[in-house]
Amino acid sequence: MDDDRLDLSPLRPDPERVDRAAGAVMARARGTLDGRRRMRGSVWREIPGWERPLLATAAIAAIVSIVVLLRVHPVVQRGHVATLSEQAGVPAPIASWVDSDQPPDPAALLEW
Amino acid sequence: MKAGGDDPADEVLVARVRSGDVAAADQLVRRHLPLAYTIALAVLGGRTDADDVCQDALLRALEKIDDCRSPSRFRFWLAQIVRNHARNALAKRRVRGGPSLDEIGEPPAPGHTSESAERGELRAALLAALDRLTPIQREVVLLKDLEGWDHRMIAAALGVSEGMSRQHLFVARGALRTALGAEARRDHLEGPRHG
Repeated sequence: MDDDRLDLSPLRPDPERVDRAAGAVMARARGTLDGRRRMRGSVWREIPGWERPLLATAAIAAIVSIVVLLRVHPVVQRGHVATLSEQAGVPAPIASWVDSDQPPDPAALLEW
Repeated sequence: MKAGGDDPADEVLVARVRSGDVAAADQLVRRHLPLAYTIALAVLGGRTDADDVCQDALLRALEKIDDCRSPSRFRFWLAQIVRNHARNALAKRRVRGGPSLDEIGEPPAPGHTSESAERGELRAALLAALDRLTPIQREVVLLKDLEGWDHRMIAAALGVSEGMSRQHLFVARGALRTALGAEARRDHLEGPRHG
């Protein structure tokens, strides 16, 4: 506690004065606050408007991705059905170990 | 400011004001209006001018609320806006060369009673005493003794060291006590000025 403190409370604005001043500020701020509410509302209204372009963009991206994947990793090569390991691009020796479901021979590991 | 009870904290109110919540803005304004007024008073030294500056600064704060980077420190941000507005008003007053509205005189408030008259006299004496201090002394003593800030907060807000804040407070309190003592002695010698 500060014993030297001066009582300056008479300088504090009384409640009526605070009411008047706050009312005046709020009356002048009304337009700004209304604008903020409108802007916020319009953002949510904007989102549905972006639904169609977003869907179209997503569809194009999906088509391009499929084409690229097919060119880089052809799934079917002349009657050969690619395994999952091959499709994932795993090197052939490792893919054969994975597909055989058997642990690799240590000699084969060293050789590879 | 710390929110008491169910009162939402400043950062909550600031977020609501950003989305245009009128009730939140009103609460924020009422909560910080006394502080804004105190700072305006410290810089300007006049009640009516302080009212105008305080209102303009609060309006500015609401308009520029997106610029408040630390909503939990809203009051410090507001204090800076008030200080800038008050300094601009002071510069305009000097250029204009006229008296402040307080020097012209303030009409008595409705419902004027002897108690409010006595309080008014005390307020006038305090304002006269404050007028003898430098703006920084006024601000330090008002923030400390009226708003209850500690020296760390005052030093950060005013851009001075805590030691300087203590020194300003010491000088300001001494000067105010002397001025108020002289005022009281003069009143005693001259008798009541009203009635």
